[in-house]
Amino acid sequence: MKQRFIKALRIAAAGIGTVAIPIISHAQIPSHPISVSPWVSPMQDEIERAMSLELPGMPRPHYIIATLIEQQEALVEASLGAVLQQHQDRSRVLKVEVRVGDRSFDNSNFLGGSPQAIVVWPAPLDDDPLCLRRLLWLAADRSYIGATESYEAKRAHREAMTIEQDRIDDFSASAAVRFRGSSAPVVPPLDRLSALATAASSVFSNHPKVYQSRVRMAVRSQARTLLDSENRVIEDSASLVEIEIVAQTQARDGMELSDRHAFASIHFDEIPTEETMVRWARELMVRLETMREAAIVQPYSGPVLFEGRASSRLFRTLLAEELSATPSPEPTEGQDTLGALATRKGFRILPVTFDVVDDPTVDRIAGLPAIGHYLFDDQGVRAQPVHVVKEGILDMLLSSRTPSKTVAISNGHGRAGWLGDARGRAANVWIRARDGLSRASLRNALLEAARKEGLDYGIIVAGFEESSGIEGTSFSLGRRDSQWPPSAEAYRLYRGGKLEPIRGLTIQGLRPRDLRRIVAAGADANVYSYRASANAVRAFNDSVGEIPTTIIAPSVLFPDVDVVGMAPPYPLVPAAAP
Amino acid sequence: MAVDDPSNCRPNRCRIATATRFGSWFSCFIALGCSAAPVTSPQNPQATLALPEAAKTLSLGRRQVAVAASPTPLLERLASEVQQFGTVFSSREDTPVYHLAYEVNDTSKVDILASYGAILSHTHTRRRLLDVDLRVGSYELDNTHPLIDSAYYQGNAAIAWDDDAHESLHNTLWWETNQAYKKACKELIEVRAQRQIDVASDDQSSDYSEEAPLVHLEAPVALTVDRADWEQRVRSLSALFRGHEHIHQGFVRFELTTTNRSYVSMGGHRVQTGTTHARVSFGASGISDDGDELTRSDEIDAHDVSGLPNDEHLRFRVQHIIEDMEGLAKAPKAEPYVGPALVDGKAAAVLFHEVFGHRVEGHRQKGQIEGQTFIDQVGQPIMNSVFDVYDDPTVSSVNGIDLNGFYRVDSEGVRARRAQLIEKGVFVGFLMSRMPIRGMAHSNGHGRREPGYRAIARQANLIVDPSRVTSREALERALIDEVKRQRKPFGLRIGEVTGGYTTTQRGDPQAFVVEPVMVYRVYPDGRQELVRGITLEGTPLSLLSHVLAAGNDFAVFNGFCGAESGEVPASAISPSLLLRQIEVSRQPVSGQRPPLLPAPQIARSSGRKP
Repeated sequence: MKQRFIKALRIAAAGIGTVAIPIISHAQIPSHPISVSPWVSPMQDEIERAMSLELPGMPRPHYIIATLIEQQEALVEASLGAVLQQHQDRSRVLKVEVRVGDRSFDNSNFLGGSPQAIVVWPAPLDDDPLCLRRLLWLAADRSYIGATESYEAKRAHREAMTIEQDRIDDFSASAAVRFRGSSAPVVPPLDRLSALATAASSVFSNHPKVYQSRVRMAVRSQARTLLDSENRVIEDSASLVEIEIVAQTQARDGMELSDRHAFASIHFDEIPTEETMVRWARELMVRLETMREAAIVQPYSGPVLFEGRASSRLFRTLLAEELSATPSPEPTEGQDTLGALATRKGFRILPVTFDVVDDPTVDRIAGLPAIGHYLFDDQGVRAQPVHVVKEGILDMLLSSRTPSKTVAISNGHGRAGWLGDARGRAANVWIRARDGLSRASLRNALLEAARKEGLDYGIIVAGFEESSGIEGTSFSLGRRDSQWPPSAEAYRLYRGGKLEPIRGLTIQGLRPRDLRRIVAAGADANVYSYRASANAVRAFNDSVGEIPTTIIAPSVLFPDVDVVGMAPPYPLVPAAAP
Repeated sequence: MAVDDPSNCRPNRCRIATATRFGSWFSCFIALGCSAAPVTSPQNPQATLALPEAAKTLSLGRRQVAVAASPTPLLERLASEVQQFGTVFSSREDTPVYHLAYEVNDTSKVDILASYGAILSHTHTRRRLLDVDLRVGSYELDNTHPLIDSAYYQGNAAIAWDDDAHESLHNTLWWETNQAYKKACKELIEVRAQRQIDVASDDQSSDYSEEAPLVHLEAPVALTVDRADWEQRVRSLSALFRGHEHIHQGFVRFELTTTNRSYVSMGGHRVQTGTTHARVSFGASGISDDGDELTRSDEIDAHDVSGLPNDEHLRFRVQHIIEDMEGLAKAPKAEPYVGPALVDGKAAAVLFHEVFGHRVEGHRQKGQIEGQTFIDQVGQPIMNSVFDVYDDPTVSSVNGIDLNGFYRVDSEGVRARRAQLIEKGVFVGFLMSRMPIRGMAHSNGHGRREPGYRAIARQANLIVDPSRVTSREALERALIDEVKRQRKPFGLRIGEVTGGYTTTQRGDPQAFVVEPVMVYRVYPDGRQELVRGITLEGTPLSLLSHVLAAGNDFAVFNGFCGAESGEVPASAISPSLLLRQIEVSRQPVSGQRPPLLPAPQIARSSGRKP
C-alpha cells in the first residue's frame, strides 16, 4: 500500500516539477491478519438471504451492501469561562442498500423514486447477533421494496425520454476485498475537553466589544463493519477532532461581524494544548476588534488576492465540489447539481503551473492535518490518490462505482455519509502551483495589477464568515453559507505596503471557469477542513454535512473580481450592559 | 430513509398523545388507563336513561411539595439581573419595557431504549436553557398583540451550568434581552399600524393581565438513578417481544427527567420549582397480512422513579401488549359506522381533551380566526346536567395514578388553581393565561409552554366528574339496549386509543379525531369482537349532546399535548361514557407488505435456512 502510494506521489511530482519537501505523510496502515468479528457472520447470512428477495414480476436484487457503524462522540461548548453544554454518546447505526435489476440498469441514481431504497436505522448497542440479524432482515426488506418502486419509476421515466445510443451502465464491477484495520480509538474524557474549552473561552472575558463568543470541541470515533453481496468485508475505524472558536460583534453603525478559528484532525493526540487554544482565541479576538473599527468596503472591480484560509475556502466552492464524475441523478431539471466540471475533462481549468491531487490515503499534507482520510471508501473500494489536474488540465474526476462517460470505474472516492448514496466526492484536495511566490512577492503582484487598472489599492481577502461547522451547538454565529459569504477579514493594500482593514466585503460572480484567470499563486499551503453534504443536489442548509473533507491551497491572485459592500440598514447596536 | 415525526403543533391543530418516540423509524402514540345514572341531555331531553347508581371511584391526591428554606444561587442571581436590566430597559425614553421576566429550565434526563432484548440507545443529557419574556407598550396594548393570530415560537439560549459563572450568565442575559427588546420594538410598531388598518375586534380586552408577584420556593431536585439496573430491566422486558410472528419491532423505554425551574420578573416574581418525571413505555409494531400497520403501546408515568411498578407488573403490561397485537393481527377490518358506543375511560378522556378542552383555552376566544365554539355559551347548558368538568393542575394523582399535568406555578409565575369549566351541564368558564379575554380579566394559572415558546392557556388535568355514575356492567347492558332500540346490528366499544387531535380555526372543519387501537363490536347477545382500522371523528357540540351516561370506572390518560406553545405534559381523566351516537371511518392503509422472508429466528425454528 505504502509503496503504491509513493509511486503515485512521484507521478504527481513529475507533473509539477519541483517538490521541495516530503509533504504528504501517511496514516498508519495496519496489516492485521483477517479475522472475523461477531458481526460478520450474521450480516453475511442476512445479506445472502436477502439476495433471494422477490416480488412476483419484479426485478430481484443484484447487489446488497450493509454497513454497521459504532460511534462514540463527545461535544463541549463553553463561553466566557463557563460550560454551556457538554455531551457524550455512544450509538450504532445500520445502513442497508439493496439494488435491483442488473448492473446495466438498476434503481440507483434516481431522484423520483422511493427514498426507502437506502435504509438507515439505529442498531442495538448490545453485542447481540440475533438482534442485528432481525434488524438487517427488516431493513433489507424495506430497502428492497423501496428499490423496486424506484426501479419501476426510473424505468417509466426512461420510457418517456429519448434513449441515448451510448448509454452507460448504472454500476461498475469492483474486485472484492477483505480488510481488517485498527480498532477505533477511545474518545478523550469530557473533563479534558471542558477544561480546554473553558480556558480558551475565558480569553473573551472583559472584552465587551465582542458581544458573543463560543468555544466548541467535538470528537468522534467510529468503528465500521462493511459487507456486501460480492463478499467484500471491511472492518476499520475513523476518528475526528473538530475545534471551533467563534465570536461576534457589531460595528458602530450596526453591521454584524463574525469570525472563527477552526481546527480539525483525525488524530486525538493532535488536540492542541491549552496554550495553543488560548493563542487562537486571542488572535481571533484581535482580528474581530480590528474589523470592528474597519472602514466599509466601497464597490470595486479589480485584482483581488485571496490569502490564507480564504484561498482554500475559495477552492472548496470553485473546485472541490465540482470534481465528481458521478452523473447527476435523474431527473434534476431546474436543480442545482454538483459536478460542474464533469464535462470539462481534458480541458484547461487552471493555469499551466497548477496541479491538483486528491488523496484519501494520507492524513497530513504539507504538514497540515487532512481529515478526508480513509483507506476504503463507503462502497468498500480501496482509496486511491487521483491526479485530478495536471499542468492546469483537468485530467481525472473523482468516481464512485456509478460509471460516467468519462470515468468507467471507481477510483475509491465513493462517499456517502450516513444518509446519502455513494457519489464521487472530494477527500483531501491538494492544490499546488509551480514556482509559487512568497507572500511579499504576491502582494507586490497585487499592487502591480492594481496599478495597471489605474487603482490606488488592491484588495486582499484573508477570511470569509462561516456558519458553525459543528452540529448540535446552541448558538449560531455567522450567516448560512451562501456561495460567497461576506468577508471576515479583508484589507486594502496601498502602494508602499500600507494595509487598511475593510469590512462587509462580498465578492460577486466567481465561477469555476474563472480559475483559469488566476495570474499568480503563493508558495504557501493553507488548510480548510469541513464536512461536505451528502446531497447530490445543492440545498440551502448544505454548509454542515457528514463527509470530512480537506482543501490545501496556496494564496491566489485574480486579475479582476467584482466586490460590493453589505448594504445597510444594519441591526441596532445593543444597549450597553449595566 | 424512513423517519416518522409525531410532532403536530400547527396553531390550529392541537394534539394529545403520549409522544413516545422509539427510535427514528418507529414512533407511536399511546393512551393509558381505563361508567351512569338517569341523565338528561339539555339539547336532547329525550335522552334519559334510568340506570342504577354506583359508588364513584374518583380519589384526587394532592402531593406535598418540598419547600426550600432559601432561594438557589441561580434564582438570586437571576433576580438581581432582572432588576438591573429591567431598570435599564424600562427607563428607555423611546419604547420602555413594562414587563421583563427570565426563566431558566435546568433539565437532566436519562433515556434508555431497548428493542427485542438489546439496548438501542442510552443517553444522559443536561440542558440549561434561558427564556426571556419581554413586553413593550402597556398592559392594554403591547407587542404580543398579534400573537392572537400568529406564531408563538421564540427560541431560547443555553446558559452556563456553573452558578458562579457570573460573567457568562450576565453576558447571555444582556445579549438575549437586547435581542428580545429589538424584536419587541419592531413588533409594537407593526401592532399599532395594524390597529389602524383593521376593523376593531369585538373583544377589546387587554393584552396582558396584572398579577400579584409570587414568591414560591420549592426544593431543587437531583437526578439519581441506578442506570445499570434500569438498562438490564428494559433489556429483559423488551426480550419478551421476541418470537412473536406479528411483532416486528418491540420496544421498552425508560425515561427519567428532572427539571429545576427558576422564574423571576422585574415585577417581583421569585419562583423556583423542582419536578421529576419518570416513565416506562412499551411499544410494538407489525404489519398485518392485508397491509395494515399494527401498533400497540402503553406507558406508566410517575412523579418519581420510586413510583414506577415492579418488574412483575411491567412484564404483565408487556404481555398485555403482545396479546393485543396477536388479537389485532387476526382481527377483521371495521367498516364506517354510525351508532351507539361505549367509550372506555381513557378514550373518553382523550375525547374530552380534544372535543372540549382545546376549545375552552382562553386565547382561542380572542383570535379572529378561531372557531370560538364556546364564546357565547357561558351560562348555557351544553351537556348532560349531571356532568361537571374542570381542570385542576394542583391534583397530583387520581386513584393512585400520578398525573402528568400536575404543577404548582404556571409558566407565567401564576399559582395554579382549579378552573371550573362545566357545572351541572352548564358551561361556566375558560382556561386562562395572563392573556385576558372579554369577561375574564385574570389568569387562573393555566399559562403554559414548552421552553422556547410563549405561554398561552393550556390544559393540565382535565377531569370529567359526573355527579351520578353507574357500574360498568350496567353501562354495558345499557349499550346493548341502545343497540336494540336503534335497531343496529352491533354497537362499538372504544378501548385503547393512541391519541387524537382537533382543528379549531375558522375555515377548517370544527372537528376532532381520536385514533382508537382496540375497538370491539358489541353484539346484542353480549358477544364482543375485536376489529381494527378505524378512526373516530365528529364535531364538538354534537358529540357532547350525545353523552347518555357515565360509569364509575375513572381512568387516566397521561400524555403530552402539542399546540401553539409547544408540547406540555397533560392528563385527562374520565369515566367510561355511553354515547347515543358516534361516527367512525376507515383509517388510512399503510400499503406496506409484511416482510417477504421469514424472521431469522422463525426460520431457524421451522427448519428453514436462516
